[in-house]
Amino acid sequence: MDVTLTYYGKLVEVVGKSKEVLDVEAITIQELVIWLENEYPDLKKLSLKIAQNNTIGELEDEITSKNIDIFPPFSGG
Amino acid sequence: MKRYSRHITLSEVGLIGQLKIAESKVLVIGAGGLGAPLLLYLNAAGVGTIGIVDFDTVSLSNLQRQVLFREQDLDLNKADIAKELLSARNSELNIKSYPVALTTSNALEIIKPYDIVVDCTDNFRTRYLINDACIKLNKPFVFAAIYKFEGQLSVFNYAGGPTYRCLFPTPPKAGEVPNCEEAGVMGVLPGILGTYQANEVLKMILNLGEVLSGKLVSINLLTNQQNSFQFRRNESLVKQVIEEDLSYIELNDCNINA
Repeated sequence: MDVTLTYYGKLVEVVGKSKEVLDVEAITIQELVIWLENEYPDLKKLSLKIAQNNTIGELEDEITSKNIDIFPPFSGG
Repeated sequence: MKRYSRHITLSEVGLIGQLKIAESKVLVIGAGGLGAPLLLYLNAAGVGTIGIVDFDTVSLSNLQRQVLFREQDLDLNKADIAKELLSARNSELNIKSYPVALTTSNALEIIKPYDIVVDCTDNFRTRYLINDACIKLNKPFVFAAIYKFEGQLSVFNYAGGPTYRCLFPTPPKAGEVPNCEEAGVMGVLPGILGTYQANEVLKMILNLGEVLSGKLVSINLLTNQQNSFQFRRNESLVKQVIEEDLSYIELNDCNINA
């Protein structure tokens, strides 16, 4: 299944793109985090949240949505 | 009441709604990019009591986005000058300035008299402190934060809804997330987010529409895309905050510089 990852905020600069498509089968959010940290070691140091179907779920949730959003906290005001 | 006639004409507001606005007490923490438009709109709307907390002074590089301030306000305390500027625009309201930093020792005392808190700060240390103090005092708070061309918006701790810690349990490490000074920021971005915050404040006062609780809205000015992410309250985390002292929490999970 093709899944589109959309990055927000500083993550766009860290991974060098705002979107990418991954071909995955039956993986969990936790497994996606491991893939992200292997692909982009600089992400290991950052706080981030992962949402699918516009909902932030648990790490053990299986990815069923074709659209995944990955965002950090912002601090500016 | 003539000045509020365009509100009163709205059947959803009316005279009773306008009186609710007049009776409301809103505390704005941070009179910067987010705080400037927020304060102007709350003041124009007739919010009866507005508290403004800011320890900082106006600097030249603030004027690109902090539209409340003028060149003649340079080097003056932001809370004090904001009070003066707002009083000149709407002299009927009670406006109180707190020209101090919000700390673990004064947060509960400052926040306590207010109905709604608005987080317009620019650092994680104060954001987590506001979150924890609002949990302890059972106050809702309207959150916004910005990065370059993107913003995040939510209402936390509203009617048993989730809090900022339910989204991001602990503060990021020092230097992990750049602020406006380090990263730069499009001047209209806090203008838009601060105005959204004012809208949520007024919706809460008037009990109108759907308050942005349990959802984080993400806004990108370059693509005009808005996304909304649902999240749940973490009851055990909230309970820990209720049980521990603010200073204990800050010492133990907040190793960042404000």
